[in-house]
Amino acid sequence: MASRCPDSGKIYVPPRPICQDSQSRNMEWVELSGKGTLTAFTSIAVPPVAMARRGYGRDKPYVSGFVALKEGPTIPARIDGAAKSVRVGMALEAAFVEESAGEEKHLTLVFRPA
Amino acid sequence: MDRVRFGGDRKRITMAKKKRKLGRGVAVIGGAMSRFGVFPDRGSRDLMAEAYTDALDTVEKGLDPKDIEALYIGNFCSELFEGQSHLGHLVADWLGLAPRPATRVEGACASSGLAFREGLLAIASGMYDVVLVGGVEKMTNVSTEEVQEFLAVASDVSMEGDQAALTFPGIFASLASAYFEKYGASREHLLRVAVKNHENGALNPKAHFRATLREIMEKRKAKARERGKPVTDWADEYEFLRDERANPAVASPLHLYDCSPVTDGAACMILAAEEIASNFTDNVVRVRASSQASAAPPATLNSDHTALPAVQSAARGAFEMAGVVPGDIVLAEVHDCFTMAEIIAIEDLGFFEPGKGAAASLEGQTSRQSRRPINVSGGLKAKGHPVGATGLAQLQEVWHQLRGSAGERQLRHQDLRLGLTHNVGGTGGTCIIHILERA
Repeated sequence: MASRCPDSGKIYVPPRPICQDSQSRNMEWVELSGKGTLTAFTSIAVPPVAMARRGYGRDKPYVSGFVALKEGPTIPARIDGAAKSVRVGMALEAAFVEESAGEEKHLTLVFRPA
Repeated sequence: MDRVRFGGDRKRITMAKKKRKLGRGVAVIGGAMSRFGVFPDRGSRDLMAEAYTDALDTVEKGLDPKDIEALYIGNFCSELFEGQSHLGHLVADWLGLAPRPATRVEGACASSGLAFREGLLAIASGMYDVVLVGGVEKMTNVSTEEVQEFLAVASDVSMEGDQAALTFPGIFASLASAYFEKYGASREHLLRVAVKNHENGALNPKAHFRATLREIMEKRKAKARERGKPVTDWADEYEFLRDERANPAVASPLHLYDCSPVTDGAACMILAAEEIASNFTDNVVRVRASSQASAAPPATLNSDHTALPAVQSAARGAFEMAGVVPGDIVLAEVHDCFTMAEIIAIEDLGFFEPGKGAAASLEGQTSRQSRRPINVSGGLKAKGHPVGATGLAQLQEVWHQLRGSAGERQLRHQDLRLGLTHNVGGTGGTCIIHILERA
């Protein structure tokens, strides 16, 4: 979900209350397609504590990057299921997966090859 | 009674594009950094005291501390590292300067660049004649895991952190992937930046790493021999850096030796109104420009991620305020939190065309011997990066170079008139640029 400014048409993820261009405060909710393109990425071998708890580390690195969504905004996100084929410019689509850290479950936004 | 009405039609006061200027000139009359390194028995106050006493000793004609009228102290996160906030008044007291006004200034890794700016503006406004600016970070007293968690709060935690688990190095690594893709650069370009900055740091008695990467490599070989372990016979420091076991990946393409270290340290400078500077020095160095900008996290920008817009914005403002162009700058201290950051910096500052910074670094166009040396101090990479102290460490280096007091690091092959510092906060959210001029 995103917010859209009715004056400038600009879309924001995460949704925000004030438009950067028009300064309008009359934002509307809009649902996005989940489609996007990868514009930058990295494979992380030294995870933060929260990811180490989910089993990631030097032996199990994960990929994260920046995704330019079809509707306009760019967001940071985990990139799943691309492994060796990940490259700048690849087409992606959003998915939600559940990851476990011991007993805790975390619903996680990821992008997969489209 | 008439009620005041709010929210009426907004009238725009259209201001002609304003050229930034100081109310009156400001000069630097003193500057120093503490030793940078790992000091288990020293806290932020001790480090600040060392930098302060060293800075006082650099004032040519002497300064009575009673003439200091205010303090601005840059610090990123003593709350997390030391469990202590509200550093301004503690530093004032520790340096014997209470009851002078003391303010802690924060902008992540740009904290002390911002402190310098606050001190500058305070004098330029006419409010004070002599101001102390300081910067300090105590970081080595916590675990490596904790350092990474604490540093990460300078990024956009909800997005870059929680949503994408990008980590600090991960964000700069992502910029590297976009830069490599667009311009055909590779890790080979990054290696040269690390080697150069260590060569420079080896000449800096206060640097965290006073050793070239070749010396570090030789030490590793010697240690392995001593312990009867197998010795890898790296031909040179580049082979050492390419070895995954010696230089493990952190966030591809950034490896251990692409990242600035975790360091304790402080820096301090003394500013005075230019009209009274000759009371303190015959070698006046004035502030020619100060320019600051903000930006959204790079991961949320609709760009190709090969530049930092806060830097480009601050740079435009700095050159405009100074009335000079990038080609006029003869030395610069830039924010190499990661090797990739230096390459992007020299392009954002206009020293090299977009996409040409990588090759320029590889070809030696940023070395000590070049026309415009970058990071002669050793940069954040070799000098060290106590987060809150870095901005002022850069500024005092430029000051020492311009007045000829940089010791073994002193540059001699140019007419040293204009130097620039480039200090960045977090993942590019804040940028503060200063230009100093030898009068």
